[in-house]
Amino acid sequence: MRALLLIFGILWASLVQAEGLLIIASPEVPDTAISVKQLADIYSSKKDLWGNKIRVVPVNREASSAEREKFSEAVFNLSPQELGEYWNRLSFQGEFPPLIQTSDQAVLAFVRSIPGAIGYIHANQQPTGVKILLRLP
Amino acid sequence: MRHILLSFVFLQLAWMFAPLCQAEGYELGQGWHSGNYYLSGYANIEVVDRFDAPSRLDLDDLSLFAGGRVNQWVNPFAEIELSKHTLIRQGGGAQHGDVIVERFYNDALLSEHDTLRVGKMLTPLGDWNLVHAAPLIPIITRPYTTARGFDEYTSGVSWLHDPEDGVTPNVQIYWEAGNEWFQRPASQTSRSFRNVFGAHFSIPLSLVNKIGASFQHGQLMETGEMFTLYGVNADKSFGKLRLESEAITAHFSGKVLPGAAPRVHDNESGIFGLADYTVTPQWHGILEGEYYQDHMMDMPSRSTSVVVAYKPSIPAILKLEYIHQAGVSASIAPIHTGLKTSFSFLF
Repeated sequence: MRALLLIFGILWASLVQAEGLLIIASPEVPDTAISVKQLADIYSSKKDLWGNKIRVVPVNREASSAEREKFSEAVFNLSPQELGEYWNRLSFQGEFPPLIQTSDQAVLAFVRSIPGAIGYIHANQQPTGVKILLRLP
Repeated sequence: MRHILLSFVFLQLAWMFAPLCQAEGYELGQGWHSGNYYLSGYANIEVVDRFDAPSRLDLDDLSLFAGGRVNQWVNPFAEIELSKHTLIRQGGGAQHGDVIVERFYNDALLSEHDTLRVGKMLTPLGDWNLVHAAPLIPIITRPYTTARGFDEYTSGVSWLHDPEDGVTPNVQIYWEAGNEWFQRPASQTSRSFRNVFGAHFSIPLSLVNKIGASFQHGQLMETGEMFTLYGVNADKSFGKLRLESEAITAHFSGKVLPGAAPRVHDNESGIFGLADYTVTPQWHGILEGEYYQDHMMDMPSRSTSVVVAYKPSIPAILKLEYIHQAGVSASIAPIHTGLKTSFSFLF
């Protein structure tokens, strides 16, 4: 019985962990960790440069994805639609809204290859060739 | 003939733009991105049913804007639009629109928080003047307070300071040493300005809410008068309710040029308030009211509008507006009693 409970507990813990998001960045990014506030500054176009003067290139998932919904709520406490309207206003003002990639693999490939890129993927991924800066629950 | 030619030119532009829209890197509402460059735009179609004039169908705006991030010093941005193009008018007599260079500037990033902007830009006075594209605003008729009393465009230099802490105000200082570049035709505006300088301060209350204060000094070219203007703006959300307001007051002085309309008042002032209630994420109910006393008119404009807006998806909005004018409307960008419907979208 104890063994069953232990197995159930491990499975449950892994499922809970897998529901989160990993914040990943290109190897050229000098930071090794990032706070939610810094993440919000990047995704609201308030932080444009990393410490080594490389330009920050944020990547987003498409509006209908579960990852984007989770990210919008965890970082900004806004719905994807509210955040989308904010980015539309930024775009009209000449700011670059985050680029869109439509799968975890596409985000990973983009972040791996573009210096200064930062993005988010499902926590059940095991990314290589990128830095993991933060795990969002 | 010009009417037909303009339609043809913009159809050609739409035709050229279509393959880009189908390309990878295109996101509806956020345009087409390729590396360090992007191209985007919006369109707004309006049906105007004034109760004292023929109804009409307008292509109110067809705008294209493009930007690039080349390096720290070269970050160009440009916007060109076809404005106020009447497609159909009851009883005939369609009016052609004007092609306008709205913005054309370069940003040099002096530091992470400081930008030097050179070119033609939207003047930072209040919040509406910076973001007034139809898909991004809740009502159809733009209040006078947000445009009429000041120079909407700055052709010159500007310094933008955007601190990261969220407490220190964002600051933008600007200077126009002369006239507007790519000057808009008289059919688009009744006022032009020169030798203008000013500043705008704003403090974010949240990601989407802020309060701000503005100042502007310059000369009105049509009358030769000097003016000094002060303005405040605020918007704040309370759950599903968002409240927004802007107010300005300007003092005019100096002799009026011979032949120009006489000054009726030394001061020009206006205030508008807007309440936007989110019934569902798609449906919005909006109430708006404005008082505006033009310094060249005897009586003020006093308008009220009721708007129902439907947002089928993020980049599009359908609006139905009833507006009532209880005072006097200015001749350019008139606010008359009537019904309006608009469909606008970012592409």
